[in-house]
Amino acid sequence: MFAITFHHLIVGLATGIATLSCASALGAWISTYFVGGSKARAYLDRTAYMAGVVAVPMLPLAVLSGTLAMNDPGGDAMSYNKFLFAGLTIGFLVSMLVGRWRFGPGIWVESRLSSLQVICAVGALVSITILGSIGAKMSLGESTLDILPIYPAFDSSIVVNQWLALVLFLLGLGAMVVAFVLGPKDERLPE
Amino acid sequence: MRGRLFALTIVATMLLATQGSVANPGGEGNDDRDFTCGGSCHGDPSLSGVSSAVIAIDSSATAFAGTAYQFDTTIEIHEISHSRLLGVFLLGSTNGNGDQPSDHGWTIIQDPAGATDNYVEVSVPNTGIVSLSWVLNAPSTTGDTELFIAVQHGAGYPGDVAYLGVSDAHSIEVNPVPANMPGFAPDWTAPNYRVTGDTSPVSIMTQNVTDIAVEWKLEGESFSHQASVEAGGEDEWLVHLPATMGESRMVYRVTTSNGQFDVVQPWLTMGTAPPEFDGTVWGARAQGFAGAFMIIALFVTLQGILQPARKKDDLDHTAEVEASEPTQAAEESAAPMPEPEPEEETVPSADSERYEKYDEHPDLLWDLVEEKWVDDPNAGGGQ
Repeated sequence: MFAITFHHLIVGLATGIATLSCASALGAWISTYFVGGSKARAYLDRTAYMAGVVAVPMLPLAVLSGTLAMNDPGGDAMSYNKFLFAGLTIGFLVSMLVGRWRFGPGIWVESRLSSLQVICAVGALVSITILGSIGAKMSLGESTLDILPIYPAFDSSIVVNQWLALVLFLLGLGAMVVAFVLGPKDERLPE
Repeated sequence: MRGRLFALTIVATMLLATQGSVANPGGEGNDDRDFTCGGSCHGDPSLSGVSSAVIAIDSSATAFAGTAYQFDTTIEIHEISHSRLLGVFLLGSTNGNGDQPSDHGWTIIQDPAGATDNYVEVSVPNTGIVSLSWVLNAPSTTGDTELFIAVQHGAGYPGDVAYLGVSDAHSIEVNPVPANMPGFAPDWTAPNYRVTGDTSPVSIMTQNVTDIAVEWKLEGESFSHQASVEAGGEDEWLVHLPATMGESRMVYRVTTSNGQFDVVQPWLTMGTAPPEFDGTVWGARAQGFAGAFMIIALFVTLQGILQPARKKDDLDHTAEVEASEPTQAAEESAAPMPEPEPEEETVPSADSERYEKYDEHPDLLWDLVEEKWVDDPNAGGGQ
């Protein structure tokens, strides 16, 4: 009964906080190009980290509430794409948080690792923008991405067989476990 | 303080800007609707204005009861909103209720969009001219009846109102159908689309018909082609039309015959729809999480690979280890120093166990360790 209302609430919070996290991460990276940017970087780094920590559990809640709010979730290309882009958003955002957690705030001054962080932040920002745009297209008929000269074809999707999707899920889970357990050992970087 | 005022001004400006748009410029979508959607802003005299659209109707003034009838209209409009969206009604009256053609005995076989609605929304081209056709089944009762075209739209400038235009009544005299007149079945509606690549035959239901002929062409083409037809069930005909792909639309025209009459029916339109979506919620969930996991695995691995190489000093943790074991270190320092081991013999000697003396080589010794001959210093070898 309240699924639609709850979905609107949680989507607003999740997208807002995730956007704040990504924008702060971009700001932290840009601050490394300015002399004396360390103080701003410290603030932006903490903001990105904390906002990301808050946003990640909200994203599955947004997906769940959206599923409850729809008659046939995943039954059309637009809603199917929402699941896919929600997965991409979670993947990029968690990767950014894991990097910050493993290497500490010094990650921004290490050029190669900070570049990875920025890729994750931009990926998450683009994914969540597309997510919101699809949602707006479904509920309002228009979206932010309408300003683009060519609107991406979100009314078609890449659908694999359900069982193949399960295999991919297990493969991804295994790859993640291997990456954490057998990957190169990490060490926090000096600030 | 000035910074706060500046921020407050920006926020207030953004909030006020949202008041600028109170209309519903996106339209309401195709549907069965009464005049002015039964009481929208377009019908409110205080909120609406008269449209400058010129509406022309070019259709027959006579119809046969219960048979197909094509209603054609051309609308010319040059003042329209930036979205160029125009809502067009086909109406039996303009009362605000009970206005739909079905309320006046008409049945819509096909609307301009290929469905069966009396209200359609179209995008006006830059020429400002729109031509639309409805294919209907005339009322089964004879007599005079009227049909109207109404349009509603916006103009897209500040202070804009909702515009409304209505055509003059188009009078139609519905005559009794000649006995045994061949035509479509009264309850048959034309299919408005087929799935891409579908070659299954199209079913057409008729009455008083012994044979039909169907010609088809792609929308916009000049020349038509003959389709093959086979009889289905009673009063049913199966028409084999070629499959269409993408967004192509096909138009086809049926000629119904019974040996006594040959009636050429109006052109009907059939669009192409994409294949039915076969995704499931569990497939979507699995695929979504698979993507998340793979991205995390990729970036975690890259982070491990791209992290700065640890220097040798960083790897030497002797100091930390010694500091963490003070008792053992103290015991070791308190223990007596072990006696130094005797130096290894470096000068060959026949008395040593390592070297053997042989009479055949008086100046040499055999090194048992290195397994080679060395000079015997006592015999003057190597001097």
